[in-house]
Amino acid sequence: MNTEKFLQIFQDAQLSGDKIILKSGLHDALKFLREQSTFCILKDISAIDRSEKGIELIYHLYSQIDNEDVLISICVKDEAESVIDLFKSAIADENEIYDMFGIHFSGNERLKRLYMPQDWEGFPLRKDYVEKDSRLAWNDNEDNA
Amino acid sequence: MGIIVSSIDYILNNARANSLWPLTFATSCCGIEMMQTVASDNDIARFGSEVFRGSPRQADLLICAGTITHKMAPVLLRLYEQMAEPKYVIAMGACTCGGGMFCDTSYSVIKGIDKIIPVDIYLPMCPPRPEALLDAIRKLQKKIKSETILDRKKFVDSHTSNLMESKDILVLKQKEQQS
Amino acid sequence: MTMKTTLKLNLGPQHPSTHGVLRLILELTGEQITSCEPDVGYLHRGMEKMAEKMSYIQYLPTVDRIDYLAGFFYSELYIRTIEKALNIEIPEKAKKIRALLLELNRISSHLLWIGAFLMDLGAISPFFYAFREREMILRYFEKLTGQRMMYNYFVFGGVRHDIDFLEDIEEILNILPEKIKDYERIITDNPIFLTRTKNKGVLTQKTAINYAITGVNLRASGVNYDIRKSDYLYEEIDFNPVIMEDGDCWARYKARILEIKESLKIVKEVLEYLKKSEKLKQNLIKPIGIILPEGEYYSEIEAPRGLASCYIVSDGKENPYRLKWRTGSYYSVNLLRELLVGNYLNDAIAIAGSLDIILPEVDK
Repeated sequence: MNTEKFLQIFQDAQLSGDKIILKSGLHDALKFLREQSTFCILKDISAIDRSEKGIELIYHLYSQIDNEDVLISICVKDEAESVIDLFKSAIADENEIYDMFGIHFSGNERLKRLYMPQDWEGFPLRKDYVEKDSRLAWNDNEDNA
Repeated sequence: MGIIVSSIDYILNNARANSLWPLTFATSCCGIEMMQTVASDNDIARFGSEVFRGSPRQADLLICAGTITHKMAPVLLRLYEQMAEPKYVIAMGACTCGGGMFCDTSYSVIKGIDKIIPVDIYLPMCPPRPEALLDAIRKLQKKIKSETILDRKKFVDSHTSNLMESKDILVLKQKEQQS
Repeated sequence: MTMKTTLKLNLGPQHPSTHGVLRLILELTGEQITSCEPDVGYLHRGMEKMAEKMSYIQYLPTVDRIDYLAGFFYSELYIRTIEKALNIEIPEKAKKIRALLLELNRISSHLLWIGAFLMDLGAISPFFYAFREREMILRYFEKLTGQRMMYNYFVFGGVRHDIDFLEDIEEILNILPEKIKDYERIITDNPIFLTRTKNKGVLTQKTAINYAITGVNLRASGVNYDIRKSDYLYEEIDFNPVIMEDGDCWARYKARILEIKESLKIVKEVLEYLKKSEKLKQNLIKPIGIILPEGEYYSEIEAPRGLASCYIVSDGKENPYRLKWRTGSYYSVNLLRELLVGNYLNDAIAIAGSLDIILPEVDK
């Protein structure tokens, strides 16, 4: 990918290692990569809890034509832009991140608890997660035998 | 009286023990070993348990094969309650016996299905070999053959009371009924 | 008068045909599916959070459980990431051993899929055939590693001990191709099988790429994407990725059969190398107290159910700061939202089965 061209268009982006770090404009950047460039597979979205900096989302795009990967990273607090109109695979990823980190993706109407039961308390993969759901008490029962 | 009960027991127990119909309830790894037990090399049919049923109402043995999580636990309880008496449970694999390797570190795994339903035979190992499952079924048959109808009721009753104590399950049931 | 009523149908989580604990909430008009909402998580074991609480070596045995049908792949993936972080070069023979075991594992995984898929379609006997051959491979694994499904055989810097019992692999290589021919005779041109799978659940290239489908399912739709081609384990090994054009259930079935044959070729080639090679010499690193340098490490592998990747963020402590898995099946489940719509209910099981979904991979 022509990184310089990308950095020219998105002024507030900066390159750090393999990642391109964005401050804002995530949807536009991904749209650019998909439509102007050849990155049309969104392999996955990883989320990392960076405690005070918020949650870092890493979008891993792949171009089959150029056989090249690109990582777009953005730090968010509780709300992020949804990219399901560009990549359908993001439905799965965004839902997983909503369930595990509690980040709301604006524009994605389908968010719901995925892995945990519907009314589970807390978001497990956050660093400040405490296991306090009442159902955890099921484990405390003494043996029946 | 004793003679009558014991001869009824003899007939009933033999009938029950030699045609245990298991429920296809496979959640994870152990499920594959359960399939292997059904398949050619091990052939569970030798012990009269080849009739795997899809519906809990036709089954009388619940081989709980695989990890049970907090999301799955109410389903497991409901399946167990749908089964008709007499019903037996084999906890297959370390996860169902006591949480296994997820016991200390996982937030979503039930640490043993005996917290949810009564268990007759515990079969640890991760996952148990097909031979081990066959052995568990043999042990269960032995257990069935040695009990009397009067004891079985006591055994089940002692567990039912424990089940009712888990209020969360009751609350959950009510919620599901409302929705 | 037309009736415009829809019926909601709940499939699973306890359902004999859903390969584990998948739950599909279907909306039907008559027998036609108008919408599908997969509900997963019945097997969510919190693998990613577990990693944060454990040291690197403690976590190693757990990794096999992410995909119990292809345990070698995930332990290889995890170990590969850590070796990359620590800059460890593994000996040539260890590489070949790993490649051999991975391919045997792929064969056993595909064999199980054939049995289970045909059982979904209502044919019982292929299940028994497939399991018979799978058992052969499993016996070999047990002889070598001591476990049938969760091997824990790869270690940081190589393999636990040198490979042995090569004559068993030779026997597998002698028997299996004949058996595959048998399957093809029974299944491939069977008219009932053809009517149930041809032109059912057609996955176009565009949809597959949009839903990030990888692995056999993508290649069955005509996209040539197999990262084994750039994998360091498969250097110098000659093989061709299997590409099918149609993208329907039948193509996915055929692609898996052909992939088994291709894997057998790889196994044969590696076996020749191993027979000639000398005893394995390797410098295993001390597994206790491994500390990864601060940074982010990523690696990927072509697992039987699609691209799998492992992403480790380390902050220089004994346990990872964050560990993320990407698994192929999760995206296949997501695809069901689109692939099932417009099909009839009785094809739903065939289509869902043909994607080779395995639930611990979905739920992690």
